[in-house]
Amino acid sequence: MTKLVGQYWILKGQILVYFLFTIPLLAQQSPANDSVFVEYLLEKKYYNDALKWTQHRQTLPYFRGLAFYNQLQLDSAIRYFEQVPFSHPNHAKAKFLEGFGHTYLKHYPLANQVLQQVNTADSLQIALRNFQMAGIALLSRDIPRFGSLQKQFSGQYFAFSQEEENLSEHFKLIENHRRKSPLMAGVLSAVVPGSGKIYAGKTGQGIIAFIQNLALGLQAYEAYRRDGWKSPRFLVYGGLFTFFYVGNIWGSTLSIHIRNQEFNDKINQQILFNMQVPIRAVFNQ
Amino acid sequence: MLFLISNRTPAQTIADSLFAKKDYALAAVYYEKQLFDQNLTVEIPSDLQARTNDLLNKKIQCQKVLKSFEEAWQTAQRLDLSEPNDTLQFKQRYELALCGYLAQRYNEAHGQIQQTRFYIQDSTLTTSLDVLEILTLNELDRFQESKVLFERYALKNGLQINSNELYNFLKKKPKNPDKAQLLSFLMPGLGQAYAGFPKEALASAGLQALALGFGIYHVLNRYYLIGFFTGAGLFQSFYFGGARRAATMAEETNRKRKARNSQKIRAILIENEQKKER
Repeated sequence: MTKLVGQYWILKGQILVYFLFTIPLLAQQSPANDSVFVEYLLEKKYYNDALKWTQHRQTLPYFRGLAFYNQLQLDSAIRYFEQVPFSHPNHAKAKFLEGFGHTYLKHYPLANQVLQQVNTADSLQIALRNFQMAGIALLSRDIPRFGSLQKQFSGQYFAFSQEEENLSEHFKLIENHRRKSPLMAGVLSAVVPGSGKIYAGKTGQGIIAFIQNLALGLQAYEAYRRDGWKSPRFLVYGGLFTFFYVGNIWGSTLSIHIRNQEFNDKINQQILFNMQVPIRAVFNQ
Repeated sequence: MLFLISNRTPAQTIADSLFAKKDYALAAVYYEKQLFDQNLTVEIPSDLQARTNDLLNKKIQCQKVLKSFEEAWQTAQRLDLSEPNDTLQFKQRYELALCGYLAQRYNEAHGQIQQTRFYIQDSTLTTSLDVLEILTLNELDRFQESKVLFERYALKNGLQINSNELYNFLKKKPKNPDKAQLLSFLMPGLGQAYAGFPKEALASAGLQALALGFGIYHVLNRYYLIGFFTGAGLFQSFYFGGARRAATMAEETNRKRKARNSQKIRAILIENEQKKER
């Protein structure tokens, strides 16, 4: 019996010693250390490693989101930013990035909704949110909303005073952008082939279209004059001419759409760029 | 017994066992974790450099198995090359150069090889660089230098290969794209034939003859507009297009030849190296 009691105490002692040595090791594996490691991976730009490391650690959605965000996989980034708990120290940053992700993916109402969730008393962050919402309004071409948000631009915050000015400039550009009518381009091209393209701002294409049509028209005319309506030669050249003539009218109306698309893409790209820079400036001090 | 368990570094077992289980992507991260943990410890171990290099090497092995050569190259650049022991230093430098080659950064790989030859004078070590250098030089299109090295290599390894024969292609001039273009301007199809594509040469010449024939036929029958626009229009686009195509074909032939010659030399080198290992 005494032997048993003795063994019991020896065992207890061994267990105690075991814990004494293992607890520091367990602490090393704690989430706090994990997150420092992930921060290190992100800082070093080892994004693949960061993604692999956070794959089975659901406690680190913020860092996984950040890794995806830096890899420009925005839909995945959004999914993880959504999971960042309110108590997380980087909750506000996660929300701003999530909002930007939605904006980039053209989910404008969602982006607004996410930004509304940023619950902050920090005046800098409130101004940043206002700025981001103004950007979204401009991207969705919601002019009245942009106007009311623009009134709150203060120009006080060094992190994005320049961007506030840029956004106002973009707004002016959008306002002054002359709208051109696809119908007009079509009519012009019907009267003088190629002129509709010149109207759309594609001078080179217009000149080429004019020469093409002129050459084919002349050949069709020659075939008609020499061989008459029913000759195969006229049918071939007349058909070719008709095909190019109609195609050019259709192409001219399209070029107006392309022109608008190009303008919008270019300006939207610049707006997005101006929206992204301040998020970095505010949160990466 | 219990002490043994608690003294073992946990991450090491995880990384190595993941490596053994062939989960290389995760193993690579765990090696990175070990590198990270190493820098956190308060007392700096005396063999920190060796440990760091060892872990980096293991990470590189993972990345190489995963064929992420660019990442392996990035990792290899973190290797500490200031190792006093020549054998160990050579090992790191060789790994760095090899990763550069695998990541298709041939200029950088060649630079690393030159540096290795400069810093490590021990020729018993540096001879094993020859294969890598020959392959790198081939990729850089520096076959003359590659030939000199190959001769040395063949001598050392007792290879019964006539290097002049193997590098026979050096005597052949590469196809000049400008010349191909000029030839096609002089005589349609000639440039393609020079570049080594006789069938295309016939097709190009044939198309131009057809267009020209169409034009002449119509002009003779007094269809001047059709003769001019269709005949001459088609002819000029085939004529200029054919000449441009001849130039790209000359480049294509050069590229193919280079790949074929490199492949021949590579096959010989690999075969011999494998024989040595056996």
